[in-house]
Amino acid sequence: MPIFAAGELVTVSIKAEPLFTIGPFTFTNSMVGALLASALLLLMGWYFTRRSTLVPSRLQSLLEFPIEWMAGIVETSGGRMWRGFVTLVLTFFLMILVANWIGLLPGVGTVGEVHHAEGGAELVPFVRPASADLNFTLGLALIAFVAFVSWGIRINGVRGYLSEFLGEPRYMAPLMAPIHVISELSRLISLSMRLFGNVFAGEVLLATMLALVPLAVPTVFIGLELIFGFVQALVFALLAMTYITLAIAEHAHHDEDSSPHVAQPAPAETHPSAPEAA
Amino acid sequence: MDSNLAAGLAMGLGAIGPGIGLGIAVSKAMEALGRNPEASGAIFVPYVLGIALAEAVAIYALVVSLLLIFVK
Amino acid sequence: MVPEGRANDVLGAVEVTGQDPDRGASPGGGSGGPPLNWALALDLGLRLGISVIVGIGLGLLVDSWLHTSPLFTLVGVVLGMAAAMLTIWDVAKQAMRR
Repeated sequence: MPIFAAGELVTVSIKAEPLFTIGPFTFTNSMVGALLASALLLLMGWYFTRRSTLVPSRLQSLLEFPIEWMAGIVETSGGRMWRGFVTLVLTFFLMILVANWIGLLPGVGTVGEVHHAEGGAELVPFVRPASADLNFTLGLALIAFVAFVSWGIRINGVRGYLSEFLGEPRYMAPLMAPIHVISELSRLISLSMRLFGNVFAGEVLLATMLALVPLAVPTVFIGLELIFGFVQALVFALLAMTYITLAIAEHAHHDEDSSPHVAQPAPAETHPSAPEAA
Repeated sequence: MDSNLAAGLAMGLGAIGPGIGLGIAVSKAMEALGRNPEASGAIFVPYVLGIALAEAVAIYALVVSLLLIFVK
Repeated sequence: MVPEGRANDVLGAVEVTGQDPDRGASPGGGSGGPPLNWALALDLGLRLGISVIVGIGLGLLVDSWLHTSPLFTLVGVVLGMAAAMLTIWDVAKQAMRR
């Protein structure tokens, strides 16, 4: 179990440590981190709706930049119904980005109270980055999973969605159905595990480096964590977008013709794609 | 004690093969891209499949080492 | 970046600004096909590994229900590997369609 003592190896516990209890509900320190990230994002949203102007000031342009960039990516590679899920993808991206980067602030993961348990002292930090908790990442992955299933059912109908489970030659259904279930579950688990593993390993790395050489070396690792936090947020959001597009496009994938999808309302072409070299 | 050593060895030795394999795959892809930069669309998909297969082996080694640590 | 309010476009305005088509997506990303981008590449390796693990886990679960000791675990291994191969086949087919 986690031991923090000068001269011994520092470890970060996998489970988020509980801080206090309100009634039957236990607050852990990663919940504090998640609330902090949400509060920051809500503050940004409030700023947008109250004090934004059409010709943006500098702070507003800075805050608009990730939204425009991500919305551009979703528009170009999201397919026909991109407006339906662009806000979901943006929320994933911003939430995970802020939750990851909160772990780099001074005091997060290091300022806490020391509990003297059996065998040594244990440091319980007050704030912990939310995505270093498997509950948070699993919750986000479950939200994404519900999004995939519901978009698939909404566009292709329940019959169309289930026919994807049963596979192409219908007689192979008893074999294809469990395989498809395993494939869907592996998407869910891989989404949550990737984010959790990366951020948790970053936490352990930072804690170890800060304990070994507190003076100038951890700067490099904080920079590494900055990049990793951004990349992991981007990968989660892009994967959510890709899987939603995949779930939507399953219907046309069976039609074997490259004409525009027949079953979908088509307000306008997103853009005529340039003749690709591939 | 022994299981920690075994876990370390499992992941450490198990990452040698995928590491070398991925290096070879990426180097060949870079070489092919250097010869013919317009073929990047045609190179991309087999490249992705290749690195996915090599990385899956490393994931198996990781799971074995995690099992050794967390399951008595 | 584009100086018009893309944020307005996100929030539901009608006009569609023209963007250069390959921003952020590697080959493909045409009219509605699922894009083959680098995030899918990073994801694929982990998904293949986890498919087998989930197969084994489900096999162990069914074994603990039905008390048939190694049978369903082995079936789970085979199904997990088949799920991994199906994932690869899907990516290859989607690429061959382009």
